[in-house]
Amino acid sequence: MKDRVTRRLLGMASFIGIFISLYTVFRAPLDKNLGIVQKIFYIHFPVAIVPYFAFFVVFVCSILYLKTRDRKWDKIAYASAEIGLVIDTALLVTGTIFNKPTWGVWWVWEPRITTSLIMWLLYAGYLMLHFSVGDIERRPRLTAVFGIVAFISVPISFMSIRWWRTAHPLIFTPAKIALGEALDMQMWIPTLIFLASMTLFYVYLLGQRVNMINLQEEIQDLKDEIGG
Amino acid sequence: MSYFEAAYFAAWLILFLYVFYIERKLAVLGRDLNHLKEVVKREKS
Repeated sequence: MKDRVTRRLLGMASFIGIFISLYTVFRAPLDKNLGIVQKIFYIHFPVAIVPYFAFFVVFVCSILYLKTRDRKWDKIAYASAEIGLVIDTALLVTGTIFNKPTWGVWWVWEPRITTSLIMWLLYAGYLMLHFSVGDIERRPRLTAVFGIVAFISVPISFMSIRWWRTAHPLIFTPAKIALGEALDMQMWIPTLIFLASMTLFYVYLLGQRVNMINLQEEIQDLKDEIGG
Repeated sequence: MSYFEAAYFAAWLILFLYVFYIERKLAVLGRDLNHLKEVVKREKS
């Protein structure tokens, strides 16, 4: 009961946060060069960062599962991978739409976009592995190993614009932030509020998705009880 | 539709469809669970 109330409150808080974020986006000043197209950045940035966090949760929970063999970690890892993949899909879509007016093409095989696509494919593979292994004993072990290995794609994707020459802008560097060149102060507000709301939204989805897995297991147990 | 509108529309469509799927599925599972609990209780009594 307490969990349910917490999940509902989290849901409400994240939706209110998203509406406040959208309001701050509309209030943010227009960019001198890109105009209104630059405002795509406010949604593109959080949907890029939150999947990194979600896949980090998969990585940590996979290690914890292999260490403790507690099914709780496997459930959180699976739920986080699914949510991360959905948000990552929004990243690829917004990125593609952002490319056209800024670079003149929908898709470029440059390091950041390519590594993001590889990351998406790896976590789609994680979910496919989860569905394809029928053995309930082997499945968590195999997906945990895959979840650890697939995490390699996250730092590579994050560092790609630092390691290789690319057209993708590098906005947040310690030097740029220190000099105040990263973003205008009025642009920082929607960026940070949107990031906080999207993180809250992820936490809410994670709670709901884990709850769904628990309900499915409880139903299966009752079905077995009736059947047996 | 401008690129700005298209990007926001596409992103929220993806996210809200997922929320809708989760909420709908949770409602159905909750109903199934209550029904099964009733069945088990009836079988035991």
